[in-house]
Formats: sequence, structure tokens, C-alpha cells
Amino acid sequence: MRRRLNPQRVKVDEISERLRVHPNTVRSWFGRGLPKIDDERPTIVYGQDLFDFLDDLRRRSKQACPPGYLYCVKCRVPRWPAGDMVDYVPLSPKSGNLRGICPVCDRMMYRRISLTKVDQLRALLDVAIPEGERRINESRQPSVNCESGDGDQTHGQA
Amino acid sequence: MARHNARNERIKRRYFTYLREALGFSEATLDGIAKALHRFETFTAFRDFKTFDA
Repeated sequence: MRRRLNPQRVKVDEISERLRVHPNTVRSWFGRGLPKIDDERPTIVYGQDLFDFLDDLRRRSKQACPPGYLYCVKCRVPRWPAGDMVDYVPLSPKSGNLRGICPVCDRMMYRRISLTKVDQLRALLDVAIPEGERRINESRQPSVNCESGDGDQTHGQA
Repeated sequence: MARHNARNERIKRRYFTYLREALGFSEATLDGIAKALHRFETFTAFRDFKTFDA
């Protein structure tokens, strides 16, 4: 599939097809500041406006995590882990994930960290390195996005 | 200064569909044509194509 977006003028269904998002998602962007070229149908967007809008959206949603903080995906803010405790889960010989619990919503929070920086972090937090944590995961996690495209990955066509 | 003219954009959109679907032009060619049209529109200060006096 062609992923390139011609930077000219595009309709809602063309945007949703090329960016692989639901048409209603694209329509919701109009309420969040994506400019249309006029109010007539079919709704048409100037390509450069779309690029600028998506860049801006991405920049606005980014949040810096201070040292020791982990980003809670549920609360959508950086949080100090509950009980000042985090686990270090190695993903490679040099780096791994910090895993903590959100003090507000009790969900797991993760943050990627280099192994060399774990010792600096020990000044702030109680970092534990659990052993024998890995287990075999038998099932693939099915996507909850019904519109995610790739027809060859659905069960019906397997 | 105007950056684009909505009515012109709609005409150009239809024209590009014609070039792509009926004449089989490639995206790269369409980009070139779009660039040339944009240059023309910059020169006319994005006035409506309707006012074009041949």
C-alpha cells in the first residue's frame, strides 16, 4: 500500500485510508483545529495544513518525565512510583524497562532505561532486579482496533 | 497574503483526478504539474481561475 501522502488537497476518506485511522478520527480532528479549505462537501484539507496539524498534535501530547518519574498511560501524566519502588526488567544486556505502580490508579507504569543509569537512580528510588521473571506467553494479543487494515492478519483468512 | 484559493483547489483536485485516472499520469508528474500551477497562482495572487481572461 502506498503510504505517501500527496501534499496537495485530500478528502477525509483518503486521509483515513493512507494514515490507517478511522474516518471518524479524521473528522474529530476538525474539532481540534485541523482547518478545512472551505465549508463545502466533500470536505477537503490542504495537505500542508494536515502535516502541520499532526506535528502540532504530536508535540502537544509529549510530556517530559523528570528523573525518577514514570509515565502513567492511564492517567496520562508522569507519576512518582508508589512506595518509591521500581523493578528493573532487562530487555537486552545494556538496557531494560523500569516497572513501577501508579500511586493513583494502581496500574503498571514502564520506562525504558540504560543499565548504566540504574545506579544513579538508586539515589532516588528503591530499584529491585527480579530474577526468573520471564515466562512463556502463549497467545498473541489480538488488536482491539477493528479498522486496522491488514486483512491478512485476521482470523477468518488465516 | 492568501495562501490558497478554495475554489481553485477544488478545480485542481478534479483536474488531477482526470490526469491520474483517465490519462494515467504518475504521482510524480502530478506533483510537477501541481508545482507549476502553484507558481502560476502565486503570480496571480491566488485569484479565482474564473477571472482568467484568455
